[in-house]
Amino acid sequence: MAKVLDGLSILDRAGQAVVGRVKAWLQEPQGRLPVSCTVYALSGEWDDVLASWLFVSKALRFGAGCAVNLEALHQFPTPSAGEIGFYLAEDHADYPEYAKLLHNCDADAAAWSARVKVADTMDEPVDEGWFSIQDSWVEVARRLQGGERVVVDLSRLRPRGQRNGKGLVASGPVSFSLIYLAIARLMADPSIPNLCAVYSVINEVLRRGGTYRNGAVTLFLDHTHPAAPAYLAMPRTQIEWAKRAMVIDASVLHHPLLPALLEAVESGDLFLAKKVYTPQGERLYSQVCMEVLLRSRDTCTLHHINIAELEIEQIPEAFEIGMHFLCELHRQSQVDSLGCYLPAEESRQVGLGILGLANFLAIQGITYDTFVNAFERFLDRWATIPEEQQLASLAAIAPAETDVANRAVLFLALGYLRSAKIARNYGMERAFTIAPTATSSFHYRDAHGYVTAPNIAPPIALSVLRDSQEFGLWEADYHPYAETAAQVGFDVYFRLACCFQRLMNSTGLAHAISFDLWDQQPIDVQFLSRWLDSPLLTTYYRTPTLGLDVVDKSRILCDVRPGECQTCAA
Amino acid sequence: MLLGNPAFYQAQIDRKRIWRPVCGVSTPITPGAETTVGRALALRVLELDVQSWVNAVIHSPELPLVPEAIRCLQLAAEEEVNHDQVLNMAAERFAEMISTEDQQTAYQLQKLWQDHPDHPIIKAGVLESAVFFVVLPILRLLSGSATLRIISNDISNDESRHAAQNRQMAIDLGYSWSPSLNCLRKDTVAWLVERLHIPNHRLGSPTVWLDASDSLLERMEAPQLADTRRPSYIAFFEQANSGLPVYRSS
Repeated sequence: MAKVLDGLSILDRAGQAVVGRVKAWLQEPQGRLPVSCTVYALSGEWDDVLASWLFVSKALRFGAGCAVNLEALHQFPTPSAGEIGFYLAEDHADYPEYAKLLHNCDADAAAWSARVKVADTMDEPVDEGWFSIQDSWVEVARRLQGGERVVVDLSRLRPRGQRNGKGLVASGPVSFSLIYLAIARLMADPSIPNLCAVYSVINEVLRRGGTYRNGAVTLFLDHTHPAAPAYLAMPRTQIEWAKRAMVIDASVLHHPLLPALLEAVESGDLFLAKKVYTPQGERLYSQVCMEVLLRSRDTCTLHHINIAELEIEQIPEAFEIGMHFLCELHRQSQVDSLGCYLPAEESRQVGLGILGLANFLAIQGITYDTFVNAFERFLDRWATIPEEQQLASLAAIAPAETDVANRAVLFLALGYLRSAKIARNYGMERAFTIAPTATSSFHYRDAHGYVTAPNIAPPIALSVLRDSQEFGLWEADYHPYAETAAQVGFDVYFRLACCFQRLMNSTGLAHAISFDLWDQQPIDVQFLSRWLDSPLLTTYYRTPTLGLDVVDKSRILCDVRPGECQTCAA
Repeated sequence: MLLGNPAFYQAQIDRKRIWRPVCGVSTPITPGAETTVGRALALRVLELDVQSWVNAVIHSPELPLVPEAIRCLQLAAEEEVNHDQVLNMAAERFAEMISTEDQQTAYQLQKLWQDHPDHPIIKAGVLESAVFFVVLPILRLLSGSATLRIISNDISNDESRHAAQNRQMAIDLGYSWSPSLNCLRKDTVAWLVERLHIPNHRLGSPTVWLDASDSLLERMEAPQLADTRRPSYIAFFEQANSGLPVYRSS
């Protein structure tokens, strides 16, 4: 697979930014491709809610993100009078930690109507009378729903931190007890917020309980859902490890929820998504990072073009190589062997994106503003050219174009059109996206050796620290001629994202864009209307872009013009 | 005649960024920095002193400063409440890092700062520019905690302005710090970093921080803290929601 293209490894090709999990697999291509992010859309049946916990759990244990769409869930079971208790053998290594938080319920065993014995495996077969950890969640939920008093016996779970010889580190019984407690709260008070809390705790425990794994959970609800106000009103502490998104349409502008929704987006607590359907009318769902549109239980396979490493004329070939690679990767992924994801023949989508546009523009001496103006002019003209003539027309005019911004746009469009043809030949229904690349961009360099900026966005500053609790601080120095977000301005960035979405749409193979909302832009009705009217399909993080120099503690700052500042003069 | 360059003070007002105090989960602290981080949090008691000094200056009838400077002081007084609130949250979350003895010492230092006879604006300026300018990078670059790094970032937004405006006000009003205040500043920083020991880390020993504090006070710059110039790009999915920053556009 790694040498599928002319015997040369994709990893050695200019402009190919292979994502981490794929790169690891290419270097040791045993078995199936590591599972990537996925989506689960609830059917509305309560049993499907229970099934979704297992689906989310599996994705997270693979280090993948999982979006859960809750829109269809309107019926909840009646509140349960059941009760939950725990048992951990006193000779268990984690008993001292356990005893600080929980107590054993065996003293009064007769009072407990059921005992759920949890085996030390997430989902492998277990002895009769025992439940795997995942299955025990469902069993506990069902028994609580039946009004039973349930003791969860955690004694067989390995102590926290213990390795199982297969590279897995135990989260420990105390950590897992948090999931049962969240389930018990849900069954006592069945509601969207309490269900969200279950997903959040599953992510917290599975992702962070043993060893850290990548992976995330994003939850989706639509603004007309009866629980939407409660969903927005959840404090962050109730949903620490899941992100919230809301699916909206223009009717939200006249909906009583509007002020709370604007506030939540402004505060960075809410992503937005529009409803999207296939041409056949089948609903598509955003995944965790919002940029890929999937059917329920589909997975995304991503690859990026590091445009910062390319000359303008190299762009089309890089796109063709990237798309060819991605479609082959998709064909050989074998993720359906796990039994819970859509097989490749039903999936029919990949996600080819871009990173390092800011570096590319810096190297070419093009400002964002100039690029966007050229891009808009091109797209407006483009719309008037019959589809069957577009590729030939572009191929003819691009080499003759002398203006560097126009030339960059033309070759970029050529890259999209040529690679779209490849994607269609592979039977893809969607193939283009702009992903956050918030981690992967740090691993790539531009043609001048500087770190690539994420996706199509300008960097927040020319030198930054990527700050992660798990991975610490990474330094990144972007191209010194790159424009920063503060210099570019949100309006130009918004128009740029619209241009990319329009270009992707013109191929008929568009996903979406993880579109950050910068702090320069107030989140108000005017902005929301503009976004709703735009081709953009989602919003993503609230990104600080202004006044970032104030973290500098190497000098007492002032920013008055030279000669006016008496502090500097003193 | 009112003192001060209105443009300078208006520039500080324009740089104001609205943020909401947030504190994420407790996290491990870099080995060798535990005591220093605990003491940095213990010194949060000085935040409200700055507020009271600033308030004292605002309400002093003879203060001949331009209105923009007074507005800077009013904002600073409001903002110190935020600092106190978020640092109290952090102190609660990282309570095991703050020994009883260190908290008592922090209170003793607070008393010395309170009782010191230098003008309040001078005390605020020295504390902001040569003590808090050391505390904040310690939390950001040495703590090893994303929770504390975000808190440091948030407070930094304000402290950079406070340090600049307080130092400028002292100049405008013709005040300068006394040798004894300088000694108190040195003692405070020395106590803060005396147990710092992170091998193979450029900022992992007390000397660099003592020198930085001296340099910030005397020359208004500390090249050894150049790493602080890099803004943070937060990995949002790797941080608990309650610890994610909240900035407002207006």
